[in-house]
Amino acid sequence: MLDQQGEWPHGVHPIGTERKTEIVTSLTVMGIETSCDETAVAIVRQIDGAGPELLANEVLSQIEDHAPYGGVVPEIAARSHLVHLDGLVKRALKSADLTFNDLDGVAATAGPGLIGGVIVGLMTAKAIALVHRLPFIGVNHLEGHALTTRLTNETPFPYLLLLVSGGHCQLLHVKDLGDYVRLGSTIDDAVGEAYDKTAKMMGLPYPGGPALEMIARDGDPTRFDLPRPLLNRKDCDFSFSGLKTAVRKHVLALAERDELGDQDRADIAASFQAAVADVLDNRVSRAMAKTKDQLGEKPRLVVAGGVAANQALRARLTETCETNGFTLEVPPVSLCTDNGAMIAWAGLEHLAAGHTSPMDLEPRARWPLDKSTTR
Amino acid sequence: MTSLLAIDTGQAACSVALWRDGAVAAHRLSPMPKGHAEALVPMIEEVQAEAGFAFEDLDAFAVTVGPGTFTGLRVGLATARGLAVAAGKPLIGVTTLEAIAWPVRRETKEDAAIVATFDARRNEAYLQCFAASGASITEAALVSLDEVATHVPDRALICVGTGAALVRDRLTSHVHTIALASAAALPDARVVAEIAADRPTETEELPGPLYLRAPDAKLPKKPLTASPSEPS
Amino acid sequence: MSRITPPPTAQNDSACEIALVDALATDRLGKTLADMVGQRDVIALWGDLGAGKTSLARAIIQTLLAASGLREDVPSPTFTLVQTYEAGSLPIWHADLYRLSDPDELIELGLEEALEGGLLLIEWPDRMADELPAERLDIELKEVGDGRVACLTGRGASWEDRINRAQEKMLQNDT
Repeated sequence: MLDQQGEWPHGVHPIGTERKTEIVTSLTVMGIETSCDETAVAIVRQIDGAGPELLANEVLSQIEDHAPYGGVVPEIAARSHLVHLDGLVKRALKSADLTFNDLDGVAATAGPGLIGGVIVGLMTAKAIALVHRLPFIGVNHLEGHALTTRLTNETPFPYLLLLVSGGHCQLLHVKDLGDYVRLGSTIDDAVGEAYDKTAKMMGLPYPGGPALEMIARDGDPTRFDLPRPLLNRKDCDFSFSGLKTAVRKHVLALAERDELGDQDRADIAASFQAAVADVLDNRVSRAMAKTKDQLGEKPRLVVAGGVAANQALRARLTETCETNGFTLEVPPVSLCTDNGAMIAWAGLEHLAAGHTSPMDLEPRARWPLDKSTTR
Repeated sequence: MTSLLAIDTGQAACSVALWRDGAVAAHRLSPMPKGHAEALVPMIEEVQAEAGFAFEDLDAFAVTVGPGTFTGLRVGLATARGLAVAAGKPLIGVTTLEAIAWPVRRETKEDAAIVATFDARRNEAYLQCFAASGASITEAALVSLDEVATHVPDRALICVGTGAALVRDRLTSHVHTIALASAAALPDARVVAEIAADRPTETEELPGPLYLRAPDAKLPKKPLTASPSEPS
Repeated sequence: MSRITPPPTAQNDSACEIALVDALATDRLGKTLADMVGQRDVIALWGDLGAGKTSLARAIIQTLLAASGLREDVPSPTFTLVQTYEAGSLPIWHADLYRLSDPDELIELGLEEALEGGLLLIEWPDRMADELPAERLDIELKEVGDGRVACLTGRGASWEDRINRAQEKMLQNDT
């Protein structure tokens, strides 16, 4: 499906009329994602016997709107989703060269996320479904991340999933559609959050994660001895709050002596990143040991969420996989961060399985993936 | 306009009305402080089942744009804009203050003015003034209760809305009579439909929200950087 | 400039200091406090980044949830500004106001609603300025050596007895 750079090759998947006459069924689903600071609409299609196709993938990032505040401001995000979403819906249809009549379903993130934004996407999807008498599917945002690899890499069930983003950090055994067992999760901060807070302490610009990764490249990862929380625990939980506290002590000590220079920042960033990598490696290895015999002959680790874009962590997880006999599968970076394609795809998978949502579905700020999926 | 579907979720109620040939053909209203996101679409389905219409046969949609609760406005506007885009029909925006002022015309003397107002908490009120004909005299605004007197015309007043009593009590030096309207204090899609039916429609631009309050974060006065440099 | 210390203790305030030698002690303090809070209580958590405010809030929330037979993650609210929970009939609001800089910004976070019937836990309460309810429990978390100290200050009569009980309970646990 993907070329070696991990990008969607342009024009590789034309929707040929020839093929269309042969096929038995095809499903085309629109997906809407508005749970954080990206307004996104995508359309995916799956034709029986062929791989899934991404027909449109429109993303409008609000990062610049939030940068002056040092983080996403929920009210600003919700207002922006409201004024931009309908235009983006039209744009997605246009770029896929489709009309509403070509759709078989409309999916939207129903949670978890910033509630104001979730409401905007969910209500827009319900309205479109109502007018065109289409099935409506409320998708768990985390499930969208969890299933993206099946859109891009056609990964078969089951697999081990490491979901790492600004708001989430968990290890899941993805057994089947809607059947997810949580092996572990962060007991305090998410990885992305730890990156952002650490970056903030050192005065790096927002968003802090990428900025920290950048300066870490020139740093000495062994200079500061930072803790690796929970390494000895038998479960697969994570903890990053103590790491943040430890970084703060070093920053404070240097700042007090007025000695916090660029090289110190780089060394702190590199030391921090090395600690995070050690924690991820340790926790993932433990999850691998627990699940390996349930994952078939070719066990896979799938990494999803925005943190999957971090090259250093990705390199480390590649090693983790080699050591444990796993294959690493990571969707392209553009589909690791929040996007509409993952929601459209999760909606399509549920629709194909006969699942739809009622029109009174509630938007949810918190919605653990392992408790319930689409009702 | 022959037929239109109107919705309101701007305040502590959820309502839907279908307007056809000069009258309300079907209508639902439920008071609710929250839960609009769950209730609204099934309510539209009920109205549709009762009035029996197809979306493609409607001339337009109408919605209250505010002022109101931010969550309520988002539910109503996202749904209405979604309906309009999906059906390819125009959307007409009506303010919640217009919607509560409109029914008061019947009980207003010709030389009096209608003061439509919602309690905005924190010693503030959303407020807009209308002539007895229903035409607006002032723009909708968020005003401090201490300055209410400067926002109303110098004539007999009839106040309506959840802020009616609050506003009246602050107008102690007003020389003309001030009455409280007997009309409902909350907007109703039935009224929204009636107002929108006489409005011209602009097909291109969809109406946006009227928040009247800035978002809940302002730019930091200085960059939010490290606290380590601060004394602890 | 962010303020990380509560206002000085005034007349009629009750105060005590509790040493928190490790994470377990923080948990214990959370459990102790959870047993004595309810509707319309406000707990303001003071202290710098990494002082342990979220850990203490988490312990309080999870204890209350557990009492209602619930087990839920309590993520840091830095990202969402506010997280809400329902422990039986008690709504719990956990707010982190770090990214706010003006009390006017609070309106739509719904904290007023929290004050009407819920338990409100606030990190970075200095952002509320005059909007911070006068009757509340201030907890300041400070690092002392390798451990931490929690300074509890009850503002208003309703806290006096509870602070004494909390201190007694924590002392019992120490021995």
